[in-house]
Amino acid sequence: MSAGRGQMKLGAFLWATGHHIAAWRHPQAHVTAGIDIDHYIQLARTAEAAKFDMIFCEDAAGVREANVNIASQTSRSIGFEPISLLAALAVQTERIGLVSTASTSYNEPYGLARTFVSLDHLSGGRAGWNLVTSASQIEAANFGSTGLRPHADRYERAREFAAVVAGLWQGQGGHEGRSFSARDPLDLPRSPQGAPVMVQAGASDEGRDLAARTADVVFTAAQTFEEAKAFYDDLKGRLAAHGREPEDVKIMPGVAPVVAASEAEARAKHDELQELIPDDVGVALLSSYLSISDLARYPIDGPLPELPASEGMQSRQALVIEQSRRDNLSIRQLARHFAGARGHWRVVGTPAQIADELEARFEGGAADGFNVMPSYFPGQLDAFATLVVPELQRRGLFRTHYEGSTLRDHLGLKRPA
Amino acid sequence: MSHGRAGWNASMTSEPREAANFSRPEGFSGDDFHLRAEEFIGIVQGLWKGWDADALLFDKVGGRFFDPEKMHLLDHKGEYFSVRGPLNVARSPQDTPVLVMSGLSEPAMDIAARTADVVLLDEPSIEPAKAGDLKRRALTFGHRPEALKVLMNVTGSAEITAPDLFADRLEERFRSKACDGFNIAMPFTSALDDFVGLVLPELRRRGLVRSGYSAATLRAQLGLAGEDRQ
Repeated sequence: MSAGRGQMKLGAFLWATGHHIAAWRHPQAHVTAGIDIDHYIQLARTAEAAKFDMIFCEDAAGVREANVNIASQTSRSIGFEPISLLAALAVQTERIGLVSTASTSYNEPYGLARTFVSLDHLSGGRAGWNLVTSASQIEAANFGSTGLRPHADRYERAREFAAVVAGLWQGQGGHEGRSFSARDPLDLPRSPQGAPVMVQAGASDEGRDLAARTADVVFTAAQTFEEAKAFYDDLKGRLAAHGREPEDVKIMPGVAPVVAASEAEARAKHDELQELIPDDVGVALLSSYLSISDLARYPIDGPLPELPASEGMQSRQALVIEQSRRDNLSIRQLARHFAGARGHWRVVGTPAQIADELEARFEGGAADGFNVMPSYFPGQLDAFATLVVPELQRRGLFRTHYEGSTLRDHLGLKRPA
Repeated sequence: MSHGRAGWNASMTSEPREAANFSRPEGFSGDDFHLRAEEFIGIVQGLWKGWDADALLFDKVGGRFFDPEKMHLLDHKGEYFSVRGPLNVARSPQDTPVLVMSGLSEPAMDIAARTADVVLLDEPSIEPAKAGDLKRRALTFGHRPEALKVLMNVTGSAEITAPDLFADRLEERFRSKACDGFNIAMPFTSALDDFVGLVLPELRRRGLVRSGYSAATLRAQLGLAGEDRQ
């Protein structure tokens, strides 16, 4: 057994053909993933057999890329609505947690609280909600004519939304607030795990504050150990102000591994994926992370231009800019770099090398676990489950069986009062 | 996920209690409710057609996941909603999910005749004329009467003790063209068992109910495949 911090938590972040932007073009990627429920059932069973804490699904209510020619070169314009998907996976699995993203900008708290507690009942206490405020103009255009709300307004709405949902999950009704009212309690009994698990990913100051107040799990993007550690310490440091203990919140940064039996093989696999990224697709993805629309008009081999502050994802923008300056990268280099892992921490190597990296961040107090983002499916989830997980288990860093039955049990979270 | 077996029951009954749980304590006015519902249903049906059935190419080598010509923006700007579209979900395997409508008041009858695949009517209030009326209205919107199925809501428990009488009642309704079929409300689990075990065999003996599924999708099963109601 590990003498250090116990065992890490692991999420299996599912995304159609894979997290790498060109994953769908890989010869071993399942290209029809976005319309194939059997594919997802297979992934869920693989993750459960490896004892992952949870499956994690992202979401956006719209085709993510406004330029249809760019969109048509990626697989991410098509997929299942994730809460429906998790309901189907709930009856095909027994122990693994089921976490879906849902927006506080384009839902009503009563409806969403009801949906997640339903998922919680039909899965026997395995549901979680990843709260997002939705930063894209594309989604905003599907929900009215007023456009994207300013960052601060989105968070004010999100704070009230989260409080209403938490109250409904505790059996309360009778809310009347600035953005929402909900008169009745839910028409369902209390969650089998007390309340569904609350996950959050916003890393701006307001996002961190909301997470410190309400989240059980925080998902984050951190490239370096120092970034991860700084985020970890900052967020844990905010908990006391809300009467919470450090262990009440599990911080799980994303990790995008490319794993193979030998390092050379893993590098070759990674290079193969990078070669499949069309330049215009990479630049478009980079533009969306920077929340600007016209990056394509700058010379692709030149540096990133000076950028104004945006109403979109402020934290992700800062991360990209910092990396471009630090490593002196051109737009093309930066685009490839971010397109590959979507701004998350990428690790390429053997099972032992990847386990070393995860262990260092876990034991170094920069993470309580990781949200694993395989580059393509099913191959790289299979590889992580059958090569990296056994290595982590051998080191005593990961469970060999589920200790409990609910997602809160897996994550070592208290049941809410 | 179900390979073409989904349907949406668009309830046309305004419930103030529900509105109060969705940040509308003042509810909807009657006109507002119907105009909003009509716009809502039109948008949903439009979004369901945002991708052509053959839009996805899956061409790994050529780098073409879908054909841009076969993805369509909705660009809806209406009185109540503004929706750019398209959905980020592929075209339904049954073309579009089946649109069911229920709780119809007079203003909703035209909306249903124009847009619904299936209409649910309540038994106690039904006159045989109502199904005919709906189908005539459908015709005025350019649809074949067969493209709208009228199902009658029937409670299945009361007459289970006399399966023959229950079958008689359903047969009479069906043959008099009061409806195309039934939506059997099962107030408790054993009522379903009784209906399946006692009433269905009698209906099958009379040749009124299929003995197996003849089609893979809900739309085809209802005899609605190939009908375009929008």
